[in-house]
Amino acid sequence: MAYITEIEIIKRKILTLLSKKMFEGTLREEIRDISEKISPDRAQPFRCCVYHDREITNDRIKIVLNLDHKKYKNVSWAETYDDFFEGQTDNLPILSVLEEACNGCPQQRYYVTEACQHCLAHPCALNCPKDVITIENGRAKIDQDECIECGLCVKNCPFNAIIQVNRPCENACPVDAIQTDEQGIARIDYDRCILCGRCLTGCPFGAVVERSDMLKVIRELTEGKKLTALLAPSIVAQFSVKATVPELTTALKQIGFDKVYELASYAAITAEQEARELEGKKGKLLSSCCPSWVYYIEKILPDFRENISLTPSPMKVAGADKKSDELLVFIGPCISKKQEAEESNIDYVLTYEELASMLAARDIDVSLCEETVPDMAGDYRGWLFAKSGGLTEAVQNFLAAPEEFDVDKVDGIDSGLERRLGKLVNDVDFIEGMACENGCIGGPCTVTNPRITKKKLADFIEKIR
Amino acid sequence: MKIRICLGTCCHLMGGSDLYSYFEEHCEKNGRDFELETPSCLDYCNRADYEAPIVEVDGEIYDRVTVEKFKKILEQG
Ligand code: FES
Repeated sequence: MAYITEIEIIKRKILTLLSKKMFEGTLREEIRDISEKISPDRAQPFRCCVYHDREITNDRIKIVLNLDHKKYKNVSWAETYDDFFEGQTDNLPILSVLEEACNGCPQQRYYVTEACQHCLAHPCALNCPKDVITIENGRAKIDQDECIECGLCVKNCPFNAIIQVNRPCENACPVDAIQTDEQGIARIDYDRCILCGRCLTGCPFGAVVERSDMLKVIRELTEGKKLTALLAPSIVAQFSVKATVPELTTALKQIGFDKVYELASYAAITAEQEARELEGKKGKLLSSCCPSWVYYIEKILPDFRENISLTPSPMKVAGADKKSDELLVFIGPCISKKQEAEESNIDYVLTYEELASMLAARDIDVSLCEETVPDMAGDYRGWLFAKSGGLTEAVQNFLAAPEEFDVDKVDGIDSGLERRLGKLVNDVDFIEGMACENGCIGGPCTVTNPRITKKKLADFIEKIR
Repeated sequence: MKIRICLGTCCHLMGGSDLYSYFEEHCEKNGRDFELETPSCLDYCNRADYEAPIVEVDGEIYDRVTVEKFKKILEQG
């Protein structure tokens, strides 16, 4: 299980400072100071100098504001902020590569390092099936244009002097959606991207960035608008390992939310509807509530498109139930819901990371909050949606004869799934698809370690069952 | 050894739950004499000279604690 990295820490620091100033109403004047706070004079720079680091932080902030950092390069902060405040947006993609932060990591796969001893046997060259290794100036050299990347030289070098280098972003992406332009800078192929968010944490330079609704939500909150928080089921223990939903409800009301709904009540509707659909369907059914999974089928394996369930996801069910005088804010673990929200009746999406930054900015410790009953309580079967296998359990619970249906699940999309899925679909009647390992509790924008969330979720479900 | 992993909002956000998870998984039952507390904000996160997440071991404060660093601290103690 992956632990948090410096990349997430920097992102969260920026989000926390932004929300603090937005809540206090001083963002317009103080937005320019944030990059200096992140990279103070005394700090060890990541790049050539702290000024370069600050430039990149400033670009990140503009992307959070949904403004094109290139267009705003020579625009003053006050003007930039005013444009944001007046509702201007450059409609950036949800995920994009910040070119200035991209290291343009080497692409060629095999390298001879200094450990090469120029040995007499040179098994690297001897075993190369294409004869593309020569010995030059006392070191083996691979002709990168001719190399077929078989890896035999790596295996045969007695000094382990040949290494394989992959671009971390390409490695992280399960659908081959990261390409390279002429300058060697990473590019996202949006025709393939499923918004799983792996590249966000996969890039060790933090060059992949996401836009955010956070500041807009804070603005609505401080202006006293009626906002309803929709809590995705994986929210249990996200903001404190010592508290769950009743304490969080108090915290949300403290920062200005009007109502708090547990999405689990809508998730139970999805589960029931999906069960009916499965009973009525002759063919195979693939679940529909994880948007990255749905995008995966649509973009990568469109042959299975017809198998995707027509049942709306819990978020879409909630959107359909929206009252005219409220704004709906979905709070969840992933990036792809930002896309799905645009296809549903949802006003804003906050990730757990963004909300936790807001709480940190307000100095609110959820575990110290009193308990408040949410305005809409969930069904335990809806809460099951948070973990891998849980959606299936909920659907089975609504089936008249669950034993008649064979089920299986995809617990995290990986690059090998393309080959496996056909057989999987053949063998069973229902597949639960989750893009992230462990399901939603392992989402790319979660805060709490999934191992802990899993336990806390089980306790929570036990209690309300 | 008395260990206090700060689980205030700021430390939690910067990776406190990873430390807590690591501790639960690897240290709790290995026979060594560990005593764990998970306090709320220890009031270091607001100070310019410290950075979250904070861990206190036998009265000594460590900041910017990663899981790797935490392992080392526990081994040495
Ligand atoms: S939250 Fe840990 S010191 Fe403040």
